[in-house]
Amino acid sequence: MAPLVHLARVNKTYQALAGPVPALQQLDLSIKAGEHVVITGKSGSGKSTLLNLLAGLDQPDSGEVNIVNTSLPELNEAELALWRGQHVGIVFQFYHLFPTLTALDNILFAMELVNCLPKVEHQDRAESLLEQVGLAAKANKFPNELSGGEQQRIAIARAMANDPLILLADEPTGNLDTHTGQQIKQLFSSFHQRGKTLITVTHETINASAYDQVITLVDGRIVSKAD
Amino acid sequence: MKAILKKLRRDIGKTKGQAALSLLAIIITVWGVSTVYYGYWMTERDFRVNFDQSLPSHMNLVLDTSDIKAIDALIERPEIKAIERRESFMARVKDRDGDWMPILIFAVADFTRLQVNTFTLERGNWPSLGDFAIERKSSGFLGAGEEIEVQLPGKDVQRFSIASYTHDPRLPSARMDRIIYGYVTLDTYRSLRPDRSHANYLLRLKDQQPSQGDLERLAQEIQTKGVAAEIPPLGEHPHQNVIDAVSVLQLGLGVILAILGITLLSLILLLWMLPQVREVALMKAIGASTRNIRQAYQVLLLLAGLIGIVFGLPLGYLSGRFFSHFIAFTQNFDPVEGALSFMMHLPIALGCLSIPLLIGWRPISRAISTSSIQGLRSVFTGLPRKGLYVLQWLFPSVIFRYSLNSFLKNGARLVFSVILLVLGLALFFVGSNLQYALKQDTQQYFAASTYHLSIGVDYADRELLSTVEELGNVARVWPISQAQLYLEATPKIHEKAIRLQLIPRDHSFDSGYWIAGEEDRSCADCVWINQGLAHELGEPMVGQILQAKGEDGKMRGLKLTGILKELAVGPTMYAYSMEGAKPNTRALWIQLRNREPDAIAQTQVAIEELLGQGLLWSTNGEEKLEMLRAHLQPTFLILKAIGGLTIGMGLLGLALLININIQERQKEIGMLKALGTGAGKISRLLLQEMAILNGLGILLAIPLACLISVEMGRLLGATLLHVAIPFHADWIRMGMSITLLLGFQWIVWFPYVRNKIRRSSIDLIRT
Ligand SMILES: Nc1ncnc2c1ncn2[C@@H]1O[C@H](COP(=O)(O)OP(=O)(O)O)[C@@H](O)[C@H]1O
Ligand SMILES: [Mg+2]
Repeated sequence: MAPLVHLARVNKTYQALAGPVPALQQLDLSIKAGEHVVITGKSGSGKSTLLNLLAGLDQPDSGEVNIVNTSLPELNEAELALWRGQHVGIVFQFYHLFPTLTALDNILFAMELVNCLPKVEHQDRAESLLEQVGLAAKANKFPNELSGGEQQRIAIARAMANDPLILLADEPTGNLDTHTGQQIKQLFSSFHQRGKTLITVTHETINASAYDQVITLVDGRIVSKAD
Repeated sequence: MKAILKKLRRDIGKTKGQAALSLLAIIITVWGVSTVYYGYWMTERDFRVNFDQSLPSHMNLVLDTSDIKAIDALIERPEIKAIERRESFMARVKDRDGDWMPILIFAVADFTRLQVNTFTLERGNWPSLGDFAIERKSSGFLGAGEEIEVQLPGKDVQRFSIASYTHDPRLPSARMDRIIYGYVTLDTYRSLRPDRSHANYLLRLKDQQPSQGDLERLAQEIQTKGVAAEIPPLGEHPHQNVIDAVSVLQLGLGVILAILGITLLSLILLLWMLPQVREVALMKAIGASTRNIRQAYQVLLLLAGLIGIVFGLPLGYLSGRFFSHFIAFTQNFDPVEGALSFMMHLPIALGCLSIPLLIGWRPISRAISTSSIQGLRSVFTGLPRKGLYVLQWLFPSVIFRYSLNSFLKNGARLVFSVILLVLGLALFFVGSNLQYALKQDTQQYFAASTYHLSIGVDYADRELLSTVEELGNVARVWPISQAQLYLEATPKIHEKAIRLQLIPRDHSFDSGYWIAGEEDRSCADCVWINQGLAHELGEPMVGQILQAKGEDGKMRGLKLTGILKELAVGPTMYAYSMEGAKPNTRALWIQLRNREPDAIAQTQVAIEELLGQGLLWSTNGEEKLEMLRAHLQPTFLILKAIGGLTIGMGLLGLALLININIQERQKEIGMLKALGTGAGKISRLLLQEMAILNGLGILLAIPLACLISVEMGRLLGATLLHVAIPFHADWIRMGMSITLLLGFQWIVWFPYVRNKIRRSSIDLIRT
C-alpha cells in the first residue's frame, strides 16, 4: 500500500533580513495511514516548518510532497485551501479559536467554511464532537470564558470538524500545565484509536515506544527515525 | 519621553499607508471646515463692503412734482446727509436675438455726484441727454452693439446709443432676474415720460446705521408734510433672501462638516490607539512613566493637527475664496481682495489644533490607565446570552454570525463609522431630495396655476381682450387692474407702498395655493396676499385689519382673508374690488389650453405681436421656473460640493476601518486559511462585515435624510421663497446612489482586501 504521506528531498529556506535561513534540508519522510507520529527537536530545528508543509499551509522550495495521493506543490492557493479543509485538521499551540464565536459556533464555522459534509449533519456532528472532547456543557461559552485546556479541546474538536484523515498538532500542550497537557494527549490518542493518522510536534522528551514513528530534527535534517 | 516618541515614530513608519490615510483625513477635515469658515466670512465681507459702499437709501420718498418745495425744506434738517431724485420705470428692449426683454430704467439727477444708492462707471462716459448707461451684467443679453432699441409703453420703438456700462452691486445679476437695467439722465427721463406727475427721492441719513425707531419717527414727520415715505428693510440687499439662504446653508453645512470631521478624527484615533493599548502596557511594564507616555502621545497629536493646519488651512482659504467669488459673481458684487485679518485665522487654527487633543484625550487616558495584564490581551465579552439565541434563530448561518459578532466587537469604532457613513449618505440624499422636492413643488405649482402667461399692458380695452381671447390656444383671459395703496405701520406691520392687484370675480386661485384662509367674494374691502408680502409685512394673521391709505387719500381698513403661496411672484396683494379704484387694465392673466412649453412660447409670441406697442412685459411659467432655478443655483452647488466631500470622508473612514480590521485580525485570517478557506472566501467574509456596516448606514441614513430634507426644505424655503418647500423623497436617485456606493466599494475593496489577504502569510498564526 502506498504511504499516506510521502516526502522526498524536500528543501525549504526562509529569506530573512539577515540572509537565507535553511529550515529544512533534503528531507525524506514516509507515513502510513493510521500511524501516530511525533516530530521532536530543539526550538528552531524546523519542526513547525515541516508541519506546515504537511498541512499544506506552505510550499517547499524543492522536493516532493505527496499526501493522500495528491502532489501538493502542483496545487495553487485555492486548490490547496480546498484540499486542506477536506483532508487535514490542524491544532496550534495557542488554540486560535475565533474569539467572537461560541465553542459550538467555532466548530460549526469550520464545517460551514469547508462545506464538505451534508448541512443537515452539521449541528449533530458539532454537538457530538463537543461531547467527545468533554465540553458539551460549555457549548455556548465564548473562548475568553474558557480555560486554556478547554480552549485547546475545542480547537481539537474544530480540527476534527470535517472528519479529516490526518490530524496535525504543533506543540498542542506547549502552553498548558502538565496535568492538562496529559488530558489533551489522551484526547489525541482517542482520536488516533478511532483510525486517524496523527502527527504531533513537541520539544518535550518523549517515550518513544508510545509512537509508531519518532522523527527528530536538528537544523532541518532528520537525525533519527525510530519506529 | 524622547525614547517613547522615537518608538512611536517607528510604529507609524511601520504602517505608512495607514498613517498617510490618517493625515489625509485630517487635512481633508481641516480643508472642509475651513472652506466653509473662510467662504462664510469672505461672502459676508463682500456683501457688507459692496452693499455699504453703495450708500443704500434709508428712506424712499414720493411726492407730487408740483410740490417739490417740500424737499427743499427737508434738506435743511441736520440729520439728513443727502436727498437725491431717482426715478425708475419699465420699458422693453430688444436683446441680442431680437426678442423683447424687460428693462428697468433709472433716471439719475447727476451721475457725477451720486450720494445714495450709488454705482460706479465700469467703462465709457456717463450718459448725457438721449444716451443710456447699462448695468454690466446685462451686457450678455444685449450683445456687443453700441445701440439699443427701446420701446416705452404706448410709444414707438426708439434707438438709443449706449454711452457706458456701470457696476451696480445693489442690483442682482441680470441673468438671475432676466431683466436689463439701464440708466438715463433726468432730462432724458422727462423727454420720455412727460406724463409723470410724481417724483421719487432717495434719502440717506448721516448716521450710517440709523435705528428703525429713528427712521419711523422721521418718516411720520415727513408724511405730515404730504410726502409719502417708505423705509426699505434696513441693510437688506434686494436679493437678501438668496444671501440669507447661502449663509444659512454655509453655517449648517459648516456644523455638519465639523461633526463629520470630528467623527472621522475620532475614528482614526480610536483605530490608532487600539493596537497601542498593548504597546502602552508594554512600555509601562518596562518602567515608562504615565506622564511621559501621555506627553509623547500629545506631542504626536499636536503634530498631526499642525500638519492638518499647514496643508488644510491654505487649501480651505483658496477654496473659500473660490466659493465667495462664485457667490460674488452671482450677486453682482466685486469680491473684496485684501487678506482677512489675523484675528480671523486664529479661531480656526486654534480649533484645528485643539480638536485632535480633545478627541485623543479619552482613548489615550484609557490606554494608559488600562492595567498591563488587561492591555496585553484583548477581551471580548460576547453577546448577552438572550441576544445570542435570538441571533441564532434569526441567522442560522455561522458564517454570517461570525461577521456580525466581529463587527459588534468593535464598539465605539463601529458607532463612529456608522455615524460617519450615515451622515455622509444622509447629506448626499438631502442634496438630491431637495433638488427633487423643488422640482416637484414647482411643477405641481405651475400645473395647478390658473394662468400660464401674464402680460403687462399699458392699456387694454374690451376689443383687445376679445382678440386675445380668440387666439387658438387661449382658454381664458382675466384683465387685472392695479391700484396704489400705502399701508400704515402698526407695531406688527411694517409700513409699505403696495400696488394692489384687482382681479375679476370669476377668477379664483387653485385651492392648493392657500396657506391660510382664502379669497372672500362677499366683502368689499377684503384683500389677500401672497407669502412674500406676508413676510415683508411681518407675518400678519388672517382676519387682521390692515390700515391703508388709497390713491384718493382716504384711510380704510382692509380685512386680510387669506395668504396664498406663489412661486417666482414678488410680494403682492390681491382684491376683487377696492372702493375708489377705477378699472385700468394693467396686466392680463391668460389661461392656455395646451401647456407644453413650445405651445406656451408660441402663444406668448402671438400675443406679444397682437399687443404691439401696448405690451410692457410678458412672462410664462417656464421662464419663471428658470428664474427660480437660477436663484437656487448657488444653494445646490454648495450642497453638492459638501455632499461629495462628505462621501469622500466617509469612504476614507471606511478605508481606515478595513485596513485596521485586516491588520488586527491577521491571526484570525491565518486560522481561516488553516481551516481550508481560500483568499477569495476570506475577503468575502470580511467584506460581509462592510456590507453589514453599509446596510446599517443605509437603514439609518434614509430616515435621517428625510428628516433633514424636511427641515432644510422648511429652512431654505422660508429664506428663499418665504414658504416651506414640501418634502419629496427622490427614491430613484437615492436608490442609484446606494447602488453606486455599494458598487464602488465592491470594485475597490474586494481586490484590495483580497490582495492583502493573499499576501498575509501563514506565519501570522504562529506566535
Ligand atoms: N518566516 C520566517 N522567516 C525567516 N525565518 C524563519 C521563518 N519561520 C521560521 N524561520 C526560521 O526557520 C527555522 C525553523 O523554524 P521553525 O520551523 O519555526 O522551528 P521550530 O518550530 O522547530 O521551532 C528557525 O531558524 C527560524 O528562525
Ligand atoms: Mg515551532
